[in-house]
Amino acid sequence: MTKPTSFEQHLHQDLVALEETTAAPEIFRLAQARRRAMAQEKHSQPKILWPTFGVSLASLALVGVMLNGQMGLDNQQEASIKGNLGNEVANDEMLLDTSDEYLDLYEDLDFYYWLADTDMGSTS
Amino acid sequence: MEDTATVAVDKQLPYRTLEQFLKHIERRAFHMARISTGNADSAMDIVQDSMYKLVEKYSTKQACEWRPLFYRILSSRLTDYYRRKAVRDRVFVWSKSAATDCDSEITDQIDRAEGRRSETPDEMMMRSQRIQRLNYSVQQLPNRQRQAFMLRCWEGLSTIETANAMEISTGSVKTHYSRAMHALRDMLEDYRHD
Repeated sequence: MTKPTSFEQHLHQDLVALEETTAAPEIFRLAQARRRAMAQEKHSQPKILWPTFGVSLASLALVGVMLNGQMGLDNQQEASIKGNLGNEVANDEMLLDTSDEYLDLYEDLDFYYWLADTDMGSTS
Repeated sequence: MEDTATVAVDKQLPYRTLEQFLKHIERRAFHMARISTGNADSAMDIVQDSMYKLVEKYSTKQACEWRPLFYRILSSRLTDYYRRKAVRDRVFVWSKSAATDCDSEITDQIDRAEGRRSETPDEMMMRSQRIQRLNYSVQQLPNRQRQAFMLRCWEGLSTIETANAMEISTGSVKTHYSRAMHALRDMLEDYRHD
């Protein structure tokens, strides 16, 4: 740092002298401003970081929506599987029903053969 | 090693706590802001705002860092003030005359202030006149030159510290300061010879 010239030194002295001319009301107002600024430090509490908080909340909401969507999809799949199963069961039941009829037919087959033979005998 | 150096620097400082620092610096900051704005109320608002900002953001910093940080905030607030004023002056052209009130306000204040006890009435009067002329001359400087002059010559910041406070390069600080000194030499030709 270069040494200040005598002109600079004189300017500095007069500027420092200017500080001494501060009027009492202004000194009072400056002291008030200082106290208020310092009081702010004592009362300041850790502030919530709103942007971080917002991003976290949005992420949680997104995860929630995605999970919900996934669960909905699972339910749909489950329902469709159940539906398919239900159809298959119904078909089996139908098959069972028809097979019961066939069983009766088979059981009564001898009777029908006898009936046919007797009809043939009577006509011939 | 670094800690020892920091402690050594801290021992030289005339303040230990943030409140002591603000007390140490407040009058100078107020006069700087008043010369820059030409208005005591605006100057008070700017200083108060700078104090708030320093306490809010930088109270945990080391004591040796407070001074450059405070002047950086003050400088930034003054730049904001000039910008707002430029817009206001463009919109309300007739309000420009209000700035001239500052000269009479400063004169009143110097007249009201107590003189140094060792000074004779003649010396007090001479000093008062010198300060008025200096005040007027510093006000005539362009904003950047005035800021560079006040931070370098009045507050005694180094070129690097001034560059940091004004958020410009060291080369620009040197240019602004050199121009300010030339302008002041011209304006205060017979300074200290009266």
